[in-house]
Amino acid sequence: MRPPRRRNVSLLLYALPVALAFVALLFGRYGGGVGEAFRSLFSSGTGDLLRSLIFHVRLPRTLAALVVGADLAAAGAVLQGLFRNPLVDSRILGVSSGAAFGACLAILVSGSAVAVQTGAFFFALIAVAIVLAVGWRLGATPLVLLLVGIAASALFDALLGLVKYVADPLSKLPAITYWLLGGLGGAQWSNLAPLLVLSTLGLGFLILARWRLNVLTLSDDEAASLGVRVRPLRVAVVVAASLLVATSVSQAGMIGWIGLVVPHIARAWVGPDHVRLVPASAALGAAILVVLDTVARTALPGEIPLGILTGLLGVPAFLILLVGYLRAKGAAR
Amino acid sequence: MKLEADRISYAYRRRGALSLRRVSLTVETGEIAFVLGANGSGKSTLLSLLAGMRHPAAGAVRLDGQLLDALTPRERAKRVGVVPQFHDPVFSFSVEETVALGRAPYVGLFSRPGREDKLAVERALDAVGLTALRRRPTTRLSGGERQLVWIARGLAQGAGCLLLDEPTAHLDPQHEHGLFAVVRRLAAGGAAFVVASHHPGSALLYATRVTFLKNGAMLSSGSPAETITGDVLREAYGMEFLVVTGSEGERAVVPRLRSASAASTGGSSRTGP
Repeated sequence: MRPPRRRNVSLLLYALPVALAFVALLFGRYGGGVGEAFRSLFSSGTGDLLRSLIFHVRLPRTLAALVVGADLAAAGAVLQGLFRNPLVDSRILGVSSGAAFGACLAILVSGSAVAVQTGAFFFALIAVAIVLAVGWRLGATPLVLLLVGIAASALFDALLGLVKYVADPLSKLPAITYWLLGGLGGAQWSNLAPLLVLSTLGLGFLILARWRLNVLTLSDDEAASLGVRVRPLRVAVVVAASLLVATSVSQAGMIGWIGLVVPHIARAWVGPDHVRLVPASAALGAAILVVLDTVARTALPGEIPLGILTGLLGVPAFLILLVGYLRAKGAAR
Repeated sequence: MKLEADRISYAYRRRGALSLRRVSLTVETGEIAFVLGANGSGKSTLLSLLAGMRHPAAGAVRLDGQLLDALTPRERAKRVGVVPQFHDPVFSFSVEETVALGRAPYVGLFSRPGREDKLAVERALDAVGLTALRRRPTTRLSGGERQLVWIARGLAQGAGCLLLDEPTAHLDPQHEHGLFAVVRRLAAGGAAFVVASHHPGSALLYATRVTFLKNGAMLSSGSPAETITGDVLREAYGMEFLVVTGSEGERAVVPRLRSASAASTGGSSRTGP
């Protein structure tokens, strides 16, 4: 892709999401603005409503934004490397479609938040299981996984269509539509545990194994000639990335573009070496989603679905990256 | 270091046609063994068997007397390296990062290259003369430089034997010579090379021994002077060649441009001028 400028992943990059998250906590529709929020954060009074709002409503939501952003961007970065294709994003393996179907099915039959989260996660796992079971038999090459992933996506998209078709257009269908647009409005302390635990596992694996991920960008024969058992490694990475996508979609619905665009920005910044790329993508994804979620919950009197925002910003960002890439290749005038 | 194929046979499909039939080849430290033959004669297949990527249906590949298949992939990778024919990297890894991948057999799943690995990378870059380009993305190298990067990766692997699949396929004469000058220097410094090639002329210049393949079987094997003759070349490529000797004793292979019928009556091998 773009000629990489190999800056070291400075402390700045990791400080960025933390700093932005802190600032995000100060923004909100309730209260007298940023200054008052800042004062109440450090006041000692216990009965402060604003302070309680910050800790019990904004903090879990901001945390969820950080983690979901990191998950989607890291999964996208790793999958782009694994598929040796910079146009791949975190939806590629059918995980998102599986999760969407599961969530909407849960809305149809139950509607409770727990059911939706569980349904999404459960069917996301079924989608990965299908991709891996079929893909492994066919050799588990990137091309096979890509094609089986497309098939799984199509299957669950069709099933999702069925759910929408039979859903009550007055009560259920709007809820389904709204969920599909994505958003972090449902994030509370009581339902964050799965996201935090599974993200720690998935991100932990990818970050620990990040040097080895470079080998996956080589052809299978080349990787094998370096003594690496490619197929088990690839499956492990697919499982870890799928875990991240599944848990993110279960928590936040369909949020596109983060998993495609953020890895590109990170790659332009720190180069393609996964040693820096994986942490940089995660940090950048976290930072960007925190900012977008703050906009989503404060810009208008009503909440803007997050998936709409990521789409509106992701498309021009993607085109800018594309132009830069073509310029670097000397193909664009 | 001695890598030896002992009458190996191989079929891509079980009970399918043999792509290699009882082929033998030996290469030792200091040697540059060329494998020549027409397209589809089995050169790449032979290389992949020598690399341990495929397993012979009959016969054996041995490394210093030990069965190659008995080694773990990791142990094998520390001793035999492969420079593939095609490498068109999707991502712009730097020269240094690419060569560092050669340390994969030494670095655990959850760790990163350490001091020793970095030293090995430095030495490998130095050995092929790429130290100055270490931070350049491999996507912005010339074809010849790219080949050197992949050779350096094999050196960083610690491999005493490197298998090169048509390394000069896309190189101009100057870069081809530059590449083989490096290969020669490395061979003299204690490495062994097997080179699959389409250029019998290169073999005359750089090989220490030559094996010709035709339809998966050995056509001829021995020193360049013994094997690269008009008869063998005609048999191998299905056309007429002259092997000529210049005024300084240098030898070259020249295709005969006369019509096939005339060529068949003429001498097949001749020294001149």
